[in-house]
Amino acid sequence: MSDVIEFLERMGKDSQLRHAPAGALQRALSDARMSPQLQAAVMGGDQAGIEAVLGINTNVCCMIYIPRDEEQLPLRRTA
Amino acid sequence: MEQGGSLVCVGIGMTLGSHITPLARSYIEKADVVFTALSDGIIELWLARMNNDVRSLQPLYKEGKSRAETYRQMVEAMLTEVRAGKQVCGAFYGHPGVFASPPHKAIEIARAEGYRAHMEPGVSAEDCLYADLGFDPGRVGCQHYEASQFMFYRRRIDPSAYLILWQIGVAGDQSFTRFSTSAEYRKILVEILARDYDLTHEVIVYKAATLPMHVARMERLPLGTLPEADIDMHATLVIPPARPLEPDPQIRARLSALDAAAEVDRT
Repeated sequence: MSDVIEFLERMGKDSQLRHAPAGALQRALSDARMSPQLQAAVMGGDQAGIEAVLGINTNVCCMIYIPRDEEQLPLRRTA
Repeated sequence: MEQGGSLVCVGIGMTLGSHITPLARSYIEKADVVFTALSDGIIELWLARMNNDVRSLQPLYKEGKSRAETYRQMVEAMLTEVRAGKQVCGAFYGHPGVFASPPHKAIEIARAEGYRAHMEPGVSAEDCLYADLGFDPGRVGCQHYEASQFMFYRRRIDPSAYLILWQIGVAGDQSFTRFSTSAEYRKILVEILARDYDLTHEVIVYKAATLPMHVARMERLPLGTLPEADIDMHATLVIPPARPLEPDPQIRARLSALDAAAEVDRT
């Protein structure tokens, strides 16, 4: 039995899976022999469902930029 | 003199499994310690399998705490291990140097202290945006601003080019402590944009796919309805051109004169 992270990595890098029609994706999931719950979550694009099964952090902050630094740069004089 | 420790900041791209480069993966796998700042918990789990010592920087975030302080702590966390003589890898989602403060700062400080430090690029949200929305930034030009900075300062924008505003989910947050701002803040953003765009002008709320089972979000709506739109910290605002390119006949005439002069010189 493969796990869902392994399957998602394969899905991300396999041209036959990345934009596969539902039938082909379902066959690949069946072949991977994941739990029905995880198969359904992948098929349905249910990120929260996968996170719940795996018990992983759902409160992820993806902001890694603030614009404030520029205020600290000295202004270049033109005259 | 170069010190023993080193730092590399790599981008893993936007979509799990699709964008990570062989080189970025190699740095992650071979580092003594890997620090991660990623877009999703599922992607954190994926990265955690690539090295025995992967440390998420997520616990440093806290709503109500200045992100400036969070970013200082991220830099310090990486540099502490560099100073201890370790080969350190910072793995960031997207491109580590595009709308990302800590990697640039950590590399700058590490180099100043005599350590080897560099950045390896990744596929950014901007890269995905051009592919998903199907436009070339070279066609009529493309302007990028962080949404809050765009609001804090007077800018001269060009409505004949694309305008892209990043981090609209926190647009107008002067405290840098929030994870979201309300419709009232976006109303002010729309007021600013209304100086150059009609409120009926179609804009696009965009989010790249971070998991391969997803498709990108590309929601088209009139500018005037942006305050009520469903906006989170992942969202980017894309404003297509509102008017055609404006020819500059004087400059073209001067260039033609140069062409003619060059032709005379040749003959």
